[in-house]
Parts: sequence; C-alpha cells; structure tokens
Amino acid sequence: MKSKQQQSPPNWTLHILKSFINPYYLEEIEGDLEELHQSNLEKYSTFKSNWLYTLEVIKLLRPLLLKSAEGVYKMNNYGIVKNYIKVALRSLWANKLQSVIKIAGITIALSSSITIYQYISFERSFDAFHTNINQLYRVDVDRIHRGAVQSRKASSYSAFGPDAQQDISGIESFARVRIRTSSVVVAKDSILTTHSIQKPAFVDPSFLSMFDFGLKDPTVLVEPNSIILTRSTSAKYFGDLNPLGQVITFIHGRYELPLEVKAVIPDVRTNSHIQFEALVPYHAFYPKSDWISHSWDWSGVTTYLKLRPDISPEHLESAFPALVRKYKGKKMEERDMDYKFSLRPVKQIHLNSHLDGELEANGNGQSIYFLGIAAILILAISWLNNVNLTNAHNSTRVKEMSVRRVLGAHKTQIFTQLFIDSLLTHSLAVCFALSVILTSADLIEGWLDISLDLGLLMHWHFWLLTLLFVLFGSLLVSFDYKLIFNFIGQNKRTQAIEQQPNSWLRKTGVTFQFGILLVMIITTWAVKDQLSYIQNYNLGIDKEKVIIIEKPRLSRAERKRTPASTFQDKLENLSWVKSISTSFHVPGSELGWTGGIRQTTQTKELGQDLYVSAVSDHYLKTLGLKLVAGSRFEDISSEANNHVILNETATQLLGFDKPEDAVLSELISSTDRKQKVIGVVKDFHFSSLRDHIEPLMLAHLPRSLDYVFVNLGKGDLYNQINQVETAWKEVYPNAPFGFFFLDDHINQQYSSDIEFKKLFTAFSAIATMLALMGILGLSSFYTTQRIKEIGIRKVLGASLSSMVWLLSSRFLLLIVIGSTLALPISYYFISIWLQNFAYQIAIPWIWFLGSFMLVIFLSLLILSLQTVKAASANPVECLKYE
Amino acid sequence: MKKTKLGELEELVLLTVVFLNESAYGVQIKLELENRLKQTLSVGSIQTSLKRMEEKGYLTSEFGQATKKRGGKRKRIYSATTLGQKVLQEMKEVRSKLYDVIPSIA
Repeated sequence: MKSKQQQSPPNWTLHILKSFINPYYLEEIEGDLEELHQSNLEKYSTFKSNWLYTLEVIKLLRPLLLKSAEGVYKMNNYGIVKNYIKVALRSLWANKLQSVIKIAGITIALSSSITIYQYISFERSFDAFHTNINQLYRVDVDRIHRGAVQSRKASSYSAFGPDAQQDISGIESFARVRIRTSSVVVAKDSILTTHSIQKPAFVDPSFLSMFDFGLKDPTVLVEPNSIILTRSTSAKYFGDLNPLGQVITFIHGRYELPLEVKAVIPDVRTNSHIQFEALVPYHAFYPKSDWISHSWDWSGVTTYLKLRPDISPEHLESAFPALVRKYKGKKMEERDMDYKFSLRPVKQIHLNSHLDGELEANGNGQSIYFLGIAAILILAISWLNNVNLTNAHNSTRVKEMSVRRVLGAHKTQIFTQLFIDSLLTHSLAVCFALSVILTSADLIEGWLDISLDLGLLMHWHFWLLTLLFVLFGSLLVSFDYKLIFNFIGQNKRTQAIEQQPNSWLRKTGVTFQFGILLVMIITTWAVKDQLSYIQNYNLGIDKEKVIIIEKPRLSRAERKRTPASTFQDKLENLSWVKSISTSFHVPGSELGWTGGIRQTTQTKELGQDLYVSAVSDHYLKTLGLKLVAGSRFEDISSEANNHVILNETATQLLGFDKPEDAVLSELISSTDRKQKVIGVVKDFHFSSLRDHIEPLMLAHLPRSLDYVFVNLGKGDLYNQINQVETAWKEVYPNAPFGFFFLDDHINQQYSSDIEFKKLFTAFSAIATMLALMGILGLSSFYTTQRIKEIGIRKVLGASLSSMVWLLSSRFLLLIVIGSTLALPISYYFISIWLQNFAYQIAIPWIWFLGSFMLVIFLSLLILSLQTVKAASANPVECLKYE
Repeated sequence: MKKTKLGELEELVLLTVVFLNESAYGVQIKLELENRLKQTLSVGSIQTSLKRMEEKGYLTSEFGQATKKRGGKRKRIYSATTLGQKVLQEMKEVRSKLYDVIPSIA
C-alpha cells in the first residue's frame, strides 16, 4: 500500500484546475493546494482531505483566476500572427500583378455570383408574400380529345369555382380572376378624360382575403359599384386629389357602369404573378343574368382555390373527374372530349408554369438552374486562379519557409500562415465585392433590365454563404502547406519549377478552368443564336413595319357621335399608309378557339377545334400573309357575315387533301353555325415559337375592331407616327394616344429568354476575363522564374519565336486538353436547353470549332503579352547579376 | 489616498506579506492569517487578493524553491513594493488620525 504522503489529490479536480485556471497562475496554485493537501493528510482521513481539496478547488473558480477567453495564445502567438499579417501584406505589395489579379478576380467573381444569387432569389421569391401561400392553388385544365392532350390552359370555366366549392368539401374559398383591357372615363376638375386601362382585374370579393395585396377585407368589393385602385393608378387619374368616393365610369364588354373608388392599395409587388392596376367586382361585369358568369363552356377566368389546411391537393384532385362529369358529361361524350383538372400551388406558378392563358409571361425555372451553375463555375474559375497563383508564388517562398522551419515552425504554423495570407486576400475581395454590389445594384438592374432581390444582404443565409466562401476559399489555398512542407524536407533549394511536386495541381487547375470557360462560351453562343433565330424566324408575318393602335372603348354617347371606322378612314387618307386592317387579336397573344368544326358532309364525331380570330378587310395584306388558294375578304363584296379563311394546318385537320379543295366548302360548328371558306392562308405563327403552328380560322367581321393594324409604307417613322397621333387627337380628343410595334409585341413572349441571354452573356464574358487574368498571372510568374534560362538560351542563339513557343506551349497543351474535354459537356447542356423550343436551330459544328479557336486565340494573345516581352529582352539585363 | 483602494482582506494579506518577509507564499500567508484571525480562509480568496494587489502594483513576486511536499511545484514568493509599503503607511496614518479625534472608543 502506498504511504499516505504520496497520495495525490483526486485526478478529476486536477483536471478542473488545469482546464479552468489561468495557466500563468497554475503552477503556484497547484503547488499551494498540494502542500495543503499533504498537511491535511497528516491530520485527517484521506476522504476528508480529498473533500477539503475539492472544496478549495471549487472556491478557486473566481473570474480573476480563470483563463481569459482568448486563452493563452494571445500571450504567445500574438507576435507571430502579427508577423504573418505583415509578411502577407508585404508579399501582396511585392507581387503587384499577381495580387491585383487575385483580389480583382475574387472581387469580380464574387460580385457576379452575388448578382446571380440576388436574381435567383428574386425569381424564387414570387408570390411568397401571401400569408396563405401554402393553401393557395390555381386550377389548370387539360383538354383531352380522343386521348390526346389538345391544350393545357391556366384558365378554367367560370362555373368551376362556385360549383366545386358547393360539391366538394375541403375548399375554404375560391376566387376567379379575369384581366382584360377596358376603358375608364374619369372626371377631374370637371374635365372628362377617357383612359385605356390595360390590367383591371375582375375578381370575386374573396380575392382580397385569399391574397395579400394590402387589403384583407373582402366586404369592400361586395357592392357591385365599387372599385379599388392601386396607388399609381389613382395618381394617374386623380393626381393629388383624394380619390376615395370619386366615381369612375368603367367600360367593359357591353357594360358601362359608374364605380365608386372604395379603397386605394399599394402597387402590386413586382414579384407577384398577378399584376393589376385596379380591382373590380367580377359580379358587376359578369352578373348572374349573363350566361358566361357561371358557365361550364366559357373558360375565360383564372380560378384560385384556398384549401383547408388539412386537405391535400391530391385528395381534392381525385374528386374533380366526378365533378366535371356531373356538369359537362353529356357534351364530353358527344364530342369524345375529356377534361383533366389539376391544382398547381401558386408559389410554383412563376417558375414552372408555361400554359396557355397565363396572366403574365412567367420566368423559366431552367434558366435559373443554368444561371446558378454559371455562378458556381465563375467562383470555381476564380478559386482555381487563386490556387494556381498562390501555389506558384509559394514555390518561390521556399526559402522563407525553410528559415521558419529551421527556427522551429511547426506544420500547423506554416498552415496558419498560408491561411492568414489568403484570408487577407479573400477578406479584401469580399469588402470590395460588397461595395460593388451596394453601389451598383441599381445600375446592373437598369443595364440588364432585370429585377434583383436587394433585400438579400439582410438575410443571415447570405452572410453564412459569404463566410463559407471566405473560409473554403482560404482553406483551399492553405492545403498547399503539405506540399511545401515535403518540398522543404527534400532540402533542394533549386529545382526547376515544373518538376516541383505541386505543379500537377496547377496543371489540373488550368485544364479545368479552360474546360469551364469553353462550356460557357459555347452555351452563350448557342443561346444567342437560338434566340435570334426565333426572333428573326420567318413568322410568315411582315412584322417590322406594322404598328398596332388600340382604340379606346367609348361610352355609348360617344359611340353615337364617332362611328367606329372614323379613325381608320382618316388613316387611309394618309399617302404613305400601305394598308390598314383591324382585329380582335394581336399575333403573339393568346387566342380563343371554337369547338366541333367540321365539313357539312361529315358527322359530328369528326368535329375539330380551331383557334379563331376575327379580322376585318385587308388583314392578310397588312400583315403580309400569303394567300395559298381562294380569295381575300376584301375581294368578295358580300353582306354575308359567315366568310372564313383557314390556315393550311386547319385544312389538313378538317380532312382536305389540298388547300384548293377547301375553298368554297361549307363548314359547320357544334352550335350548327354554318361558315363558308373563301380562302386558305399560308401557315404563319400567330402565337409563340415555343409551340407548333396550330389550326386557325380567320372569321370575317366587316366592321372596325379593337386593334387597328397599320402597315406603314416607306417614309420617316417619326413623321408617320406623328401624323397618326394627329389623326387620333382629332377623332378621340379625350383619350391618350398609345401604340406599339408588332415585332416588340411578339418578342415580349421571349422576355424571360432574352433576360437569360443577357445574363448568361454577361457572366460568360466575366468568366472569360477571369480565366484570362489567371493565365496572365501564371505566365508572368513562370516567365519571371525562367528569366535567366531565357537569357542563356538567347546567348546560345535561340530565336524569338522558339522562345515564345517554349514559354507558351505548356499552357497551350493544357488549354487544348481542357477544351477538348468541354466539347461533349457543352453539347449536352445545349441540347437540354434547346428542348424548350418547338423550332430549334440545328446544332452547328461552328459553335464548337469557333469557340475553341476563340479560346485558343485569346489565350495566345494574353500569353504573348508576357512571353514576347521576356523573350525579346536583352539577355545582359537578366544575366548581369549573380 | 484617493487611488489606493485596499479591501480589508487585501490590507491584511499585504501586512502579512510584509511581516513574513522572504517566506511569503500562498500557503504560508494563509496559515499565518488563519492563526491570527482564528478563522479558515480559502486558497481562492488569498490568491485573488494576491493577484489583485500584484495587478495594482503593491506586490511583486518571483518563483522560489520547489519542495517535495508541493509535488515538485515551485512556490511563488511575494514581497511588497515601495508603493505597497507607502499605501500601508497611509492607511495606518488615516486610521490613527481618526482614532485620535475620537475621544474614547470604549
């Protein structure tokens, strides 16, 4: 047994002591305690001594005696960390080119990625501001004819909402939304002004409580004579006047109603998929007495449902087929139709829904995904740059490291030094990038014409990502320490750079960078070509010189005074006008359709659905459409109002072998309305190029319709528009003049693609710049390293070109390897993206070869900046020392 | 005496350090004070006042001998600085002046 004196105090108390007491005091205090313990052991039992000892230890836990939060390191390592920072700053200063490339590279990459992040975050934020968002669904309808999906619409039948709520449990409320251009007559200071209102929303009162547009009280819209204006609409109509209680005459369809302004709400947020200027009660303009207000045939409204929280959308969807059969069953059987109703979460509409009849042109989820990849690739390029340059630079710091090693630096200390080095670079870059973002976000928004989520900088996840970026970027570089350390161990002070153990890292880096770069360039090229292909695609329409003017919807009294054709007649008198026509529909917009059309000789089962547009005389001529067979409307002067022109697709669908066969044939619709085909027009794209050409029927309405199409002949555009405006002012003195170009209107439907193109092009350019900056830095480094070798070679008679080749060939090889690897990857990306379009450009080899050559050319250019300078220097300059 | 903040225990410890002269270290000071005050003191309280006074500049210290009884740990020997002694003197004077003006304490 041990003697009492040798018994030490309990281990765990010693542990506490060591981990909590300031190490500076530890020895003394431990000694004191031990001494007391020993004397206690002489007096008391072991147990009591231990207990007393423990008590003393616990009493020692006083703030003054504890370890400080920074720990002991503050005392020991403060100096060395200070030294690291000093050395890091000096080396930044000493290698200005490399430092600028490093910091500028990370700054640029980081600000681009943040911008992309902001863009993505904005696109993903659509409709997220509604508090009930998880309960809100939109009803989508697929029309299925003989087993094949004929159309997929975002709008549904006006009776669906009310009938579904009545028959199916689980629906808390429904709201129908219809947005159609209308007119308003506003009295301000006793002057009446007619405004055209582009986006009034006809909604059920429950719309207010389902969505969060700044007013949750549904009773405001219960009165049929009420209207809610947004702030900017109110400012447009009433200026500074108090709008509440003012009466507006609202003209829509065949109704002309005085509405009282009941409330003014904030402007609709840009990240809402429903955009409107005013809210009008649905039942005011679609009253019960009107058959379309509650119909299973007219699908002109978008229907939103708010589900009970405990009901799953799938559960509800399963009840829809029975509902449709109950109300529509007979008609469906007659015509062999089927309708599939489905629910789409409102929060998914903006990025994932591309159906007919969307309220707004939606974003593209795939573009978001591609841009996200681009952001990561840009960051990857900048990191590779940083790793390459630092790594190359470190190999010249072997001497410094060796000295540190000899003086006793541990592995972890060399690691710390490298880490602090790149932490400094990264922190500087983050500061720069944030100031770039903060100062120029508005500029970027304006320049690229996109919306960014500027509130992103307030979110914790943004800062977390930034922090991760800094730490990861710094760590990536610091892992070089192992290689350096081994290198020091080998004790070879002079060794050719390319034989250094870590040069494979640089080689892989350059290879990857240029691979990424080539993927981005090829993709940009493809996106650009495809978009200009569809924008310049021969639509079969002469769209450049056509302007479209929307006539105001006049009040009854005004209509009596001004016949509908007055404006048109005035324009016809202008000498330069080539042709004028009117229509209900503008190509590029959604069209209505009519069902069950067949030849009179055919049975009902063969009925087809055609898109229908109503047009007046000269329509074909104004839009430059080609007549394939038969005659134009204006060629046949007849009072009959049942003349139609079909497109080629429609004639095929209706069972005519040749377009000529269709001419003068009689068609009959499901409502037994007879129509006479007088001509066949060559297929043209009346909707988006994402879709194929659909069957179309142009119905003749000899009166003047809503949209006036003017094909401006030759002449000065400015002058022409001015004259049109003068004519307008004479006819409609109270209505503001407005017009748009047909090609602009058609291009609108590609807005999300155009946005994508702009962003992707900008970021590819940035990626290119970064990669080239990287290779510039690296080549400058190599050249400086080999300056003596170059001198000696020159003295021995090497030519300039052989020197340039010597210095550039290594890079070129890596670039070629990287680019070759990139070719199949880019092919894959492009083919995915092109699947978005019905009319795709064939993938030409020139994209690949051209981009490849471009990359090689640019890299050669950058490389030659350094190599030619080095190779043409006087050898004496570099050899005279040492 | 404006800046000299000396607690009761601190004053006693300081006095003890002066009294013990060369042999003033933790345990010794504790034992001495316990003897005189007839009460037990914790190592923590003694150490805290020692460190605090060292911070204030009334004490200096250096490592002394290690003994077997201390488990091979060295002692830290404390000694009063001139400032420390001056402060004690001041305290004493203030007190004695106060006692002088009080006629009789009993």
